[in-house]
Amino acid sequence: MPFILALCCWFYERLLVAYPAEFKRDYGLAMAQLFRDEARSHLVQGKTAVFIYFLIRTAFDLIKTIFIEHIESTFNVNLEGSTMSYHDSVNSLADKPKELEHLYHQAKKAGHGNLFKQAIEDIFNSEPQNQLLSAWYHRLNYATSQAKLFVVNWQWVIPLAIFNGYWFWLLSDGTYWIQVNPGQQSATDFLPTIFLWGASISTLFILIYFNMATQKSWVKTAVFSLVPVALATFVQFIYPQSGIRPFQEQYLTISIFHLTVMAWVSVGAYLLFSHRDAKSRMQVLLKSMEIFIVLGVFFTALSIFFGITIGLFAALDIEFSDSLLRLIYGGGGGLLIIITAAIVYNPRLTPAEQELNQGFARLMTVIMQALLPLTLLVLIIYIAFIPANFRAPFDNRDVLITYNIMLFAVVGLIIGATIFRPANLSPIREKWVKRMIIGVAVLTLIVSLYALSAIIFRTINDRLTPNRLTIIGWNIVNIGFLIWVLALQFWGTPEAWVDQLYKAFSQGTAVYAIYTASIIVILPLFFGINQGQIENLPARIQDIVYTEPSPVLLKCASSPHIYLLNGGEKRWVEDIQTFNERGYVWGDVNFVSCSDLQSIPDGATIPIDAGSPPQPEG
Amino acid sequence: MPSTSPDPNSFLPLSPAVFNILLALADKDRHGYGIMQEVKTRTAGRVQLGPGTLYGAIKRLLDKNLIEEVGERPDPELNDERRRYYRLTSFGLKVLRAEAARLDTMVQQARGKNLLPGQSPNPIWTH
Repeated sequence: MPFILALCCWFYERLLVAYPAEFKRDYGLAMAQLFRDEARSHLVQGKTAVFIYFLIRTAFDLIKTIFIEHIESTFNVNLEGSTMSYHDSVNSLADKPKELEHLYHQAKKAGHGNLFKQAIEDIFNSEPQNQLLSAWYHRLNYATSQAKLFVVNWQWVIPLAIFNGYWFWLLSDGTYWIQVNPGQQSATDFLPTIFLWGASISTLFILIYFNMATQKSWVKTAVFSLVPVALATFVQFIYPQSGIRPFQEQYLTISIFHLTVMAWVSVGAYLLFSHRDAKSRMQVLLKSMEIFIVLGVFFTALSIFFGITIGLFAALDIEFSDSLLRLIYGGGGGLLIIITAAIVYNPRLTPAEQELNQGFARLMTVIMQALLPLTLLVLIIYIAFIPANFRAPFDNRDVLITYNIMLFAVVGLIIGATIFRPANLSPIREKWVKRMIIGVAVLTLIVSLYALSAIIFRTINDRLTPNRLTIIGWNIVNIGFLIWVLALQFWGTPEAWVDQLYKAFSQGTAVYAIYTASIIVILPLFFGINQGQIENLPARIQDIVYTEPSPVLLKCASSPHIYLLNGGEKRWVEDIQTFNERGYVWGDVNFVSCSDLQSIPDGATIPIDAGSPPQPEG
Repeated sequence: MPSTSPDPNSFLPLSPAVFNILLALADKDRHGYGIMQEVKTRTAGRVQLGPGTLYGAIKRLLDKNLIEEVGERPDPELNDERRRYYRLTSFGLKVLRAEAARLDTMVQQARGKNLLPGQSPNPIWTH
């Protein structure tokens, strides 16, 4: 019996960690004692069924109240009661400066700063001669005037959001879609232009708003907003030069993600221009995550609302026009991006002064920290299963893609889980959060190395593509980042572990930005087509160059000779033995007309000493 | 000093848990387990407060100044630092009285409709 009691109490005390830290600190001991008393009284009665009912009831109570306490502490709302007042307390302490100060801090801690201020104002108005209340009145009003600096300037936000929404609506029109595969008409053969330009245009309007709100530097705004616009222009006009059609498609798809990242980097660089310390970089990183999450929530709400609306009208056989649908989803999306940035980020404050203890930022911390142990568990189980399915990512592209998405998500999780002030955590919880972050980083590093070896294996056995080069690069960057995170933890003092993490994140972000820009600019150079070499080739041959992977082998039906197209010239392959030794396969041979083949100038033979190359006959 | 206390009626209605906790503290100071036992006994087990509900409500009642924590220990035998004693404040008593009066009015109204046990039901239900 004592063992069962001790076990239940031990387990209950462990579960109390799920409450908000402040609540657990204030009431955890008392709750554990209460549970012990109640459990003991049930066990003494010896009724097993009653005891089990008590445990079930307590479990439900635990789940319900954990939810309530987190919601209340996160959003500063009161789910369980009516309005409250500090009037009596302030009244009784109106001549006790020390106690009044203490009450104020308690009220602030409980998220009741406004109620305290209201009480001070009411009592001061009835007792204007009270000097202590007078001092408090002016102190709180000054604080309010400072806090009110975060006013969303709707008179600028709304027009800018409408402009952004207009561009989203316009560029999502089919007229402006990019045809990736000429001659093909399926949806996957086109790319809406807004995918390339959306982030860059939004950056322009976000930075215009930030600058209007702060009146700082239009030159700086122009420079940072034009960088993503210039990159989007580069991609738009360079993609036809980037290799064969599949490579062009890959480059465009890769560019969508990387242009979005570069747009975010530009906004971050604008905000950090005069604040380059690690904390400021970390704050911008965290605020960005908050913007993405809030935007996701807004867009989901918008989609659900209009999804239902469209469904209701469809039931009456009323279909929304394409233009109206683009206005709702495209235009609405563009509108929401500007509004979200404006309501989440306060441009009047420095990055280090941004608020991260309210709203979604705080909720994000709770979610991320709750996901940490789950991620750790999943990674451990996953790694345990790898030996049994070792070849899966080597053989299956989809598995590899899933791996890489997971690795990015875990890196995001590690960053998000550190949005907390260590002073707010109990030492035990802080120790466990640290251990879990390091554990997740170590396991992610192992999985990253495994994924990297799989993609390198696939590349060696097939060929290098823009997708593979990009992912290999990202894997290396992520692995370097994780090693750096762990190294800084190893070298740094245990007390400064959060600072070391922030340092790694801020430096890692800079590397991510450089790599992202490099990918956009360098990929076409690696996988490009020299237009000068192919522009004089017959149309059919040019089409093969754009659509078929290297090596491009050519043959005409009535001739036994096979030629390698290389640098705008045809190179005769001497015999079948050479053909096989070079690793060519019949599947790579393209049949063209003999006249087209004859019109291509001769290049060096294969091997080089094969003699005078014969011309295809027919 | 003129009174600037809020109207106790602005706190009404109280949730059943809050009302029962205030009622438990109406006659003496109690610790958490004492409150739980008192409520359970008085309601014949119909209201059983879990630890989370109890201390969540206590936190809010402290914030609202309806109860306060007592420094001294009324029960020396249970003088354990994990046991924290609570007392109804004067304002809490006002709120409790206001809620009791509100409930009383409602019971009177129910009595006027002959809905309480032992009363003849309203004729409309005998059709």
